[in-house]
Amino acid sequence: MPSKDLAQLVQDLLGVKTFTRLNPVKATAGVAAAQVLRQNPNRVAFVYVNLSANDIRFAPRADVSTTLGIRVASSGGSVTALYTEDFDLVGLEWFDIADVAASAIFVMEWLTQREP
Amino acid sequence: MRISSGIAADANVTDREARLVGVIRSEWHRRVRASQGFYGLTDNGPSVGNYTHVQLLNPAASGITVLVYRISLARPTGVGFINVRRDDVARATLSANTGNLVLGAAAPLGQLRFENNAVQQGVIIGIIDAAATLEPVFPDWCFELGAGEGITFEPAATNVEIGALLLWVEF
Repeated sequence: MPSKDLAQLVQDLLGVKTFTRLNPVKATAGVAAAQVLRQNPNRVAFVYVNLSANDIRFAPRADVSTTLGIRVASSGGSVTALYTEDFDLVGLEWFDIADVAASAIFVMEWLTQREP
Repeated sequence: MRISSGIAADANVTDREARLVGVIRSEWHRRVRASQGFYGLTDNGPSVGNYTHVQLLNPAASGITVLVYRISLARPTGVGFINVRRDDVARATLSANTGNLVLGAAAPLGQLRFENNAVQQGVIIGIIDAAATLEPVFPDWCFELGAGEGITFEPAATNVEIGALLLWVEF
Protein backbone atom coordinates (compact mmCIF):
# COMPACT_ATOMS: atom_id res chain seq x y z
CA MET A 1 0.00 0.00 0.00
CA PRO A 2 1.45 3.37 -0.96
CA SER A 3 2.12 5.71 1.97
CA LYS A 4 0.18 8.91 2.40
CA ASP A 5 1.52 12.26 3.49
CA LEU A 6 -0.15 14.61 5.92
CA ALA A 7 -1.99 16.58 3.24
CA GLN A 8 -3.46 13.39 1.81
CA LEU A 9 -4.56 12.20 5.24
CA VAL A 10 -6.30 15.51 5.92
CA GLN A 11 -7.92 15.38 2.51
CA ASP A 12 -9.16 11.88 3.25
CA LEU A 13 -10.57 13.10 6.55
CA LEU A 14 -12.38 16.13 5.13
CA GLY A 15 -12.97 14.99 1.58
CA VAL A 16 -11.41 18.16 0.17
CA LYS A 17 -8.01 19.82 0.10
CA THR A 18 -7.33 22.49 2.73
CA PHE A 19 -5.30 25.66 2.61
CA THR A 20 -3.89 27.76 5.41
CA ARG A 21 -3.83 31.52 5.63
CA LEU A 22 -2.05 33.73 8.19
CA ASN A 23 -3.47 36.93 9.67
CA PRO A 24 -6.16 37.23 7.01
CA VAL A 25 -7.44 40.58 8.28
CA LYS A 26 -4.87 42.11 10.59
CA ALA A 27 -1.89 41.41 12.87
CA THR A 28 -2.78 43.53 15.89
CA ALA A 29 -5.76 44.09 18.14
CA GLY A 30 -6.76 47.61 19.07
CA VAL A 31 -8.69 49.28 21.86
CA ALA A 32 -11.82 49.44 19.70
CA ALA A 33 -13.67 46.27 18.71
CA ALA A 34 -12.70 45.29 15.18
CA GLN A 35 -13.07 42.35 12.81
CA VAL A 36 -10.28 39.80 12.92
CA LEU A 37 -11.86 36.94 10.92
CA ARG A 38 -14.39 37.49 8.13
CA GLN A 39 -17.46 35.30 7.92
CA ASN A 40 -16.37 32.38 5.78
CA PRO A 41 -18.26 29.12 5.08
CA ASN A 42 -15.03 27.57 3.82
CA ARG A 43 -13.20 27.86 7.13
CA VAL A 44 -12.87 24.53 8.97
CA ALA A 45 -10.56 25.62 11.77
CA PHE A 46 -8.65 28.57 13.16
CA VAL A 47 -6.11 29.41 15.83
CA TYR A 48 -5.99 32.82 17.48
CA VAL A 49 -2.94 33.63 19.67
CA ASN A 50 -2.38 36.71 21.81
CA LEU A 51 1.31 37.60 21.43
CA SER A 52 1.09 40.78 23.44
CA ALA A 53 1.58 41.59 27.12
CA ASN A 54 -2.06 42.70 27.34
CA ASP A 55 -5.29 40.77 27.68
CA ILE A 56 -7.56 40.56 24.65
CA ARG A 57 -11.26 39.68 24.35
CA PHE A 58 -12.39 37.67 21.36
CA ALA A 59 -15.96 36.90 20.29
CA PRO A 60 -18.16 36.30 17.23
CA ARG A 61 -19.87 39.61 17.96
CA ALA A 62 -19.09 43.16 16.96
CA ASP A 63 -19.82 44.40 20.48
CA VAL A 64 -17.00 42.36 22.03
CA SER A 65 -15.75 44.13 25.14
CA THR A 66 -14.06 43.57 28.49
CA THR A 67 -17.37 42.17 29.72
CA LEU A 68 -18.34 40.20 26.60
CA GLY A 69 -16.21 37.59 24.91
CA ILE A 70 -13.54 35.00 25.49
CA ARG A 71 -10.60 36.37 27.49
CA VAL A 72 -7.42 35.56 25.61
CA ALA A 73 -4.72 35.90 28.24
CA SER A 74 -1.59 37.94 27.66
CA SER A 75 1.71 36.41 26.59
CA GLY A 76 0.52 33.43 24.63
CA GLY A 77 -3.12 32.83 25.45
CA SER A 78 -4.89 31.18 22.54
CA VAL A 79 -8.24 30.04 21.18
CA THR A 80 -8.51 27.13 18.78
CA ALA A 81 -11.75 26.28 16.99
CA LEU A 82 -12.40 23.19 14.88
CA TYR A 83 -15.60 22.57 12.94
CA THR A 84 -15.98 19.01 14.26
CA GLU A 85 -16.09 20.40 17.82
CA ASP A 86 -17.43 23.92 17.42
CA PHE A 87 -19.75 23.53 14.42
CA ASP A 88 -20.92 26.77 12.79
CA LEU A 89 -18.97 28.93 15.24
CA VAL A 90 -15.85 28.33 13.17
CA GLY A 91 -17.22 30.10 10.11
CA LEU A 92 -18.67 33.13 11.87
CA GLU A 93 -17.31 36.64 11.75
CA TRP A 94 -15.03 37.15 14.76
CA PHE A 95 -13.97 40.36 16.49
CA ASP A 96 -11.40 41.31 19.10
CA ILE A 97 -10.56 44.15 21.43
CA ALA A 98 -7.39 44.68 23.51
CA ASP A 99 -6.56 46.49 26.73
CA VAL A 100 -3.75 48.37 24.96
CA ALA A 101 -3.54 49.62 21.38
CA ALA A 102 -1.63 47.69 18.72
CA SER A 103 -1.46 44.45 20.71
CA ALA A 104 0.20 41.83 18.54
CA ILE A 105 -1.78 38.73 17.56
CA PHE A 106 -1.24 35.69 15.38
CA VAL A 107 -4.16 34.21 13.47
CA MET A 108 -4.15 31.13 11.29
CA GLU A 109 -7.15 29.68 9.51
CA TRP A 110 -7.72 26.50 7.51
CA LEU A 111 -9.89 26.88 4.42
CA THR A 112 -11.37 24.41 1.98
CA GLN A 113 -10.82 26.86 -0.89
CA ARG A 114 -7.71 28.85 -1.61
CA GLU A 115 -8.32 32.54 -0.99
CA PRO A 116 -6.08 35.55 -1.40
CA MET B 1 -13.17 25.13 21.37
CA ARG B 2 -9.83 24.92 23.07
CA ILE B 3 -8.65 27.85 25.11
CA SER B 4 -5.15 28.17 26.51
CA SER B 5 -4.14 30.74 29.08
CA GLY B 6 -0.55 30.94 27.85
CA ILE B 7 1.89 31.99 30.53
CA ALA B 8 -0.53 34.75 31.60
CA ALA B 9 0.13 37.03 34.53
CA ASP B 10 0.48 34.80 37.52
CA ALA B 11 4.06 33.61 37.17
CA ASN B 12 5.08 34.50 40.70
CA VAL B 13 8.83 34.39 40.29
CA THR B 14 11.77 36.58 41.14
CA ASP B 15 13.79 38.36 38.50
CA ARG B 16 16.57 35.79 38.66
CA GLU B 17 14.16 32.91 38.17
CA ALA B 18 12.43 34.86 35.46
CA ARG B 19 15.69 35.24 33.58
CA LEU B 20 16.36 31.53 33.96
CA VAL B 21 13.06 30.53 32.41
CA GLY B 22 12.94 33.40 29.96
CA VAL B 23 9.80 34.93 31.39
CA ILE B 24 9.70 38.70 31.22
CA ARG B 25 6.97 39.15 33.75
CA SER B 26 8.08 38.92 37.37
CA GLU B 27 6.60 39.72 40.71
CA TRP B 28 8.55 42.98 40.77
CA HIS B 29 7.39 43.89 37.27
CA ARG B 30 3.82 43.04 38.18
CA ARG B 31 3.98 45.17 41.34
CA VAL B 32 5.49 48.14 39.51
CA ARG B 33 2.81 47.93 36.81
CA ALA B 34 0.23 47.93 39.60
CA SER B 35 1.70 51.19 41.01
CA GLN B 36 2.93 49.30 44.08
CA GLY B 37 6.67 49.68 43.41
CA PHE B 38 8.55 52.50 45.14
CA TYR B 39 12.04 53.95 45.35
CA GLY B 40 13.92 55.90 47.96
CA LEU B 41 17.32 57.49 47.46
CA THR B 42 19.43 59.32 49.97
CA ASP B 43 23.00 60.33 50.60
CA ASN B 44 23.75 61.04 54.23
CA GLY B 45 27.05 62.92 54.33
CA PRO B 46 29.76 62.56 56.97
CA SER B 47 29.18 64.17 60.33
CA VAL B 48 32.01 64.62 62.83
CA GLY B 49 31.44 62.54 65.95
CA ASN B 50 28.17 61.10 64.64
CA TYR B 51 27.00 57.84 63.15
CA THR B 52 25.15 58.41 59.89
CA HIS B 53 21.93 56.41 59.92
CA VAL B 54 19.66 55.66 56.96
CA GLN B 55 16.33 54.05 57.75
CA LEU B 56 13.43 52.48 55.88
CA LEU B 57 10.39 52.67 58.13
CA ASN B 58 6.88 51.38 57.74
CA PRO B 59 5.07 53.88 59.98
CA ALA B 60 2.82 52.69 62.78
CA ALA B 61 -0.81 52.17 61.72
CA SER B 62 0.11 52.55 58.06
CA GLY B 63 -2.23 49.72 57.16
CA ILE B 64 0.24 48.30 54.66
CA THR B 65 3.10 45.85 54.50
CA VAL B 66 6.44 46.94 53.09
CA LEU B 67 8.31 44.21 51.25
CA VAL B 68 11.84 45.31 50.42
CA TYR B 69 12.81 44.31 46.91
CA ARG B 70 16.39 45.55 46.71
CA ILE B 71 18.86 47.41 48.92
CA SER B 72 21.85 49.11 47.35
CA LEU B 73 24.35 50.88 49.58
CA ALA B 74 27.59 52.78 49.13
CA ARG B 75 30.20 54.14 51.46
CA PRO B 76 33.78 55.44 50.99
CA THR B 77 36.43 52.75 50.65
CA GLY B 78 38.53 51.70 53.62
CA VAL B 79 36.22 52.84 56.41
CA GLY B 80 34.98 49.56 57.81
CA PHE B 81 31.64 47.83 57.54
CA ILE B 82 27.98 48.78 57.67
CA ASN B 83 25.74 47.71 60.52
CA VAL B 84 22.22 46.54 59.78
CA ARG B 85 19.83 47.28 62.60
CA ARG B 86 16.26 46.57 63.55
CA ASP B 87 15.06 50.05 64.35
CA ASP B 88 11.38 50.88 64.86
CA VAL B 89 11.95 54.45 66.05
CA ALA B 90 11.52 57.07 63.35
CA ARG B 91 14.85 58.73 62.61
CA ALA B 92 14.94 62.53 62.70
CA THR B 93 14.66 63.57 59.06
CA LEU B 94 12.23 62.35 56.42
CA SER B 95 13.77 62.16 52.98
CA ALA B 96 11.74 63.69 50.15
CA ASN B 97 13.61 61.62 47.58
CA THR B 98 11.02 58.87 47.41
CA GLY B 99 8.34 58.11 44.89
CA ASN B 100 6.29 55.70 42.89
CA LEU B 101 8.03 53.93 40.03
CA VAL B 102 4.93 54.62 37.97
CA LEU B 103 5.73 58.29 37.59
CA GLY B 104 2.95 60.45 38.93
CA ALA B 105 1.24 57.64 40.83
CA ALA B 106 0.63 57.70 44.58
CA ALA B 107 3.61 58.36 46.85
CA PRO B 108 4.77 55.60 49.21
CA LEU B 109 3.55 55.27 52.77
CA GLY B 110 6.90 53.73 53.69
CA GLN B 111 9.42 56.33 54.73
CA LEU B 112 13.08 56.80 53.99
CA ARG B 113 14.60 58.66 56.91
CA PHE B 114 18.07 59.62 58.07
CA GLU B 115 19.73 60.91 61.21
CA ASN B 116 23.17 61.74 62.52
CA ASN B 117 23.58 60.61 66.08
CA ALA B 118 26.55 60.18 68.40
CA VAL B 119 24.95 56.93 69.58
CA GLN B 120 24.27 53.98 67.33
CA GLN B 121 20.51 53.43 67.12
CA GLY B 122 18.47 50.24 66.99
CA VAL B 123 19.46 46.64 67.60
CA ILE B 124 22.15 45.18 65.41
CA ILE B 125 21.05 42.21 63.32
CA GLY B 126 23.86 41.99 60.82
CA ILE B 127 27.04 43.43 59.38
CA ILE B 128 27.64 43.86 55.67
CA ASP B 129 30.21 45.35 53.38
CA ALA B 130 29.51 47.88 50.65
CA ALA B 131 31.44 49.39 47.77
CA ALA B 132 32.13 53.03 47.02
CA THR B 133 29.43 52.98 44.37
CA LEU B 134 25.82 51.88 44.85
CA GLU B 135 25.53 48.12 44.60
CA PRO B 136 23.00 45.61 45.92
CA VAL B 137 24.10 44.30 49.31
CA PHE B 138 21.35 41.74 49.99
CA PRO B 139 19.56 39.11 47.98
CA ASP B 140 16.34 40.43 46.46
CA TRP B 141 13.17 40.36 48.57
CA CYS B 142 15.16 40.49 51.79
CA PHE B 143 12.98 42.19 54.43
CA GLU B 144 9.29 42.43 55.16
CA LEU B 145 8.23 45.26 57.42
CA GLY B 146 4.88 45.37 59.14
CA ALA B 147 3.36 48.61 60.36
CA GLY B 148 5.66 50.23 62.93
CA GLU B 149 8.75 48.29 61.87
CA GLY B 150 11.94 49.59 60.34
CA ILE B 151 15.51 48.78 59.42
CA THR B 152 18.48 51.09 59.67
CA PHE B 153 21.88 51.02 58.01
CA GLU B 154 24.81 52.83 59.51
CA PRO B 155 28.57 52.73 58.91
CA ALA B 156 30.24 51.18 61.93
CA ALA B 157 32.35 54.30 62.45
CA THR B 158 31.54 57.97 62.96
CA ASN B 159 31.89 60.67 60.34
CA VAL B 160 31.34 58.34 57.36
CA GLU B 161 29.13 59.13 54.40
CA ILE B 162 26.52 56.53 53.40
CA GLY B 163 24.44 56.40 50.23
CA ALA B 164 21.36 54.25 49.82
CA LEU B 165 18.95 53.31 47.06
CA LEU B 166 16.04 51.22 48.26
CA LEU B 167 13.31 49.63 46.18
CA TRP B 168 10.22 48.18 47.79
CA VAL B 169 6.61 47.24 47.26
CA GLU B 170 3.63 48.09 49.42
CA PHE B 171 0.42 46.11 49.62
